Amino acid sequence: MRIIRLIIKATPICIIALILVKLIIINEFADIGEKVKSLDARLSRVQEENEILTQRYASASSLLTIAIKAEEASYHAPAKDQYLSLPIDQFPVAVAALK
Amino acid sequence: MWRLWLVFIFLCSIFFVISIRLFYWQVITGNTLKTQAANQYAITRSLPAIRGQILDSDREAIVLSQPAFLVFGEPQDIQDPRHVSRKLAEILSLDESEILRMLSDTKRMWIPIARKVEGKTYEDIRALKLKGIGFEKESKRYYPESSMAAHLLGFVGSDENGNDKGYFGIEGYYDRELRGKDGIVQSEKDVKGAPIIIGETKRINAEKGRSLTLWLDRAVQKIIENRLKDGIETYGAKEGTVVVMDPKTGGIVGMASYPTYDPTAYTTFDKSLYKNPAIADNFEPGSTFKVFVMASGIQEKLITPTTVIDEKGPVQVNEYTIRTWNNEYHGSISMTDVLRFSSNVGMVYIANTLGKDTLLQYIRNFGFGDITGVDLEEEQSSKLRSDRDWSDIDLATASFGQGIAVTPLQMVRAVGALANDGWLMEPHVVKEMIDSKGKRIDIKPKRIRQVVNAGTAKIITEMMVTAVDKGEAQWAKPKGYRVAGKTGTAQIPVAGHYDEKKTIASFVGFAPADNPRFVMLVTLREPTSSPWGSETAAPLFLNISRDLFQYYGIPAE
Repeated sequence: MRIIRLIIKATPICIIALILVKLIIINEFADIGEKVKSLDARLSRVQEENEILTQRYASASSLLTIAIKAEEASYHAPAKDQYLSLPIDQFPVAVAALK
Repeated sequence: MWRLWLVFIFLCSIFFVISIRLFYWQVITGNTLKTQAANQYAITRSLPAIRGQILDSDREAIVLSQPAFLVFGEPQDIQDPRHVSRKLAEILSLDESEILRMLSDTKRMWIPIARKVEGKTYEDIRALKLKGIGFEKESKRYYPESSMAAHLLGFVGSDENGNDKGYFGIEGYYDRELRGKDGIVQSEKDVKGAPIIIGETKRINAEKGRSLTLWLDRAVQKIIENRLKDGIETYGAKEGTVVVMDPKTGGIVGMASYPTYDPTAYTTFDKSLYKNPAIADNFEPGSTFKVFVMASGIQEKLITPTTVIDEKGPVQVNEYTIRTWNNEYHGSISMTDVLRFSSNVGMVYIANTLGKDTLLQYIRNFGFGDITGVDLEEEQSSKLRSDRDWSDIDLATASFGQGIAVTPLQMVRAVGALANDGWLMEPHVVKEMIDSKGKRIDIKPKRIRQVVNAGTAKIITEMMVTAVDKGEAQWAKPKGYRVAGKTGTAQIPVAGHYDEKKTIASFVGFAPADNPRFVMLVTLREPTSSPWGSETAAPLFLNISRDLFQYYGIPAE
């Protein structure tokens, strides 16, 4: 009987305590939405940057780019006939050795 | 008493009016009001799925998605539509009056202005901070290798609802796998529009589309595209196609056709260029078809490479006279020479020896008359006539590749069977799929049937090697390599008869003959420098082979 009475007496206190806890929690979470929104925006931005970087990587490693860079660096497909030009006063090593 | 009745009727009327009003709010306009209320306290945002990448055999991306935006206007929030229209028209290169007309329509809540806006254009518009102009994320396809393999890859356009949809090639065939699943976020919002975390929230994340790894080798693709373009210019051809396949797996290593189109600007090209000629165009194969008839005769043990026939002159089939291509006759020649000289007379002999039923069965077994099952959207195939419709002359002309229509891919696959111990493979473009979690799903090579046995395949290979070594294109052959091949020249049927001047020159073969690394077909439509395959398609084939030997590091013997 005493226990029941104790519970009845404690109930309003518990309810008030729980209301207070709820208020505190709601207060704490009230501005979290703003943070979530900003995190979502950051996530979206990072994904976008990731896509752009992937695109740049693919572009830089494409055969199209490599072929242009190779051309700029003077790499050409070997011609069928190749000639070696020497200045007039120089001779190939084998000929120079005979002289 | 009447007063009581008056009050009763008055109350009933009010009750009736209230009921009607409630019916109007809850039933007739219920959904609209519900949506309006939800808009006040809830946010619903779509999370668009990123379309999967297409990778080459080295897993380097050849098609991927880049961020792009839909630019939209909210006319009710725009204070000076004229100014906004002018600014947008300048950046987007659109008609100013058209934008103004859209933005001045204040009855509309939301109007799309431009789609797939990316990079600097997007940044420029965003920097203006125009009130009433917003952006919605979407994605756009990006091609690091530009228009490489356009016919094979296809392109991404829009469906009737404006959503992305793949058309033609890989994009069309694997659209469902590539597109992924859009996600959605629904949550309650506060007065500032930020989500309320302790409110009702529902979030379904977007699922990225599957990425596809192809058998395609971009180096091989670049080689064949460059060589084909040069070949078309050199030989003055109208069109051309090159298909390279791995005979052991059926994997398509390269597939090029010219003229082609740019998938990023597909709307500016003629629609007839969208379909892939390698799988959708039928042509008469001409003499390249002889290898299958020859292989059938050997498999049936009716002939051997040394079987001799008397090629003394034209052969008569009913009222028709069949001649050799150059009207020259060599007397007694072996079957190897029949292939080397590309003798129509010799082929008619084999067809007659085989008989109608056996020959037709072999033609079907080599995969002609039916689609190959390649994983590309627009594959088509001519049907073979029913058996009873084949007359003697039809059988005779089919033996040297006329009166029968095939696609380039059917030819490559059938020759691939000769390079693969007689096993016909199902050609495939995609090697594996990679899902959003990184799990790889292999697509295993698929054997269809063994058309001829390994011994026959070996014999016909030797005959094809001789045809190249001693044939008319022997001057172009890379020294020290054994290439098995056969030239073909077919006239083009125009309005019920063959055009004397228009031909399709082709060369089909594989190399190295003893352990084939690739099987390849080259076709040139209406070459003007020479109508013959031996003077156009054959040198082009052998030039590409030379590059492929170098690329694969295959040494000369």
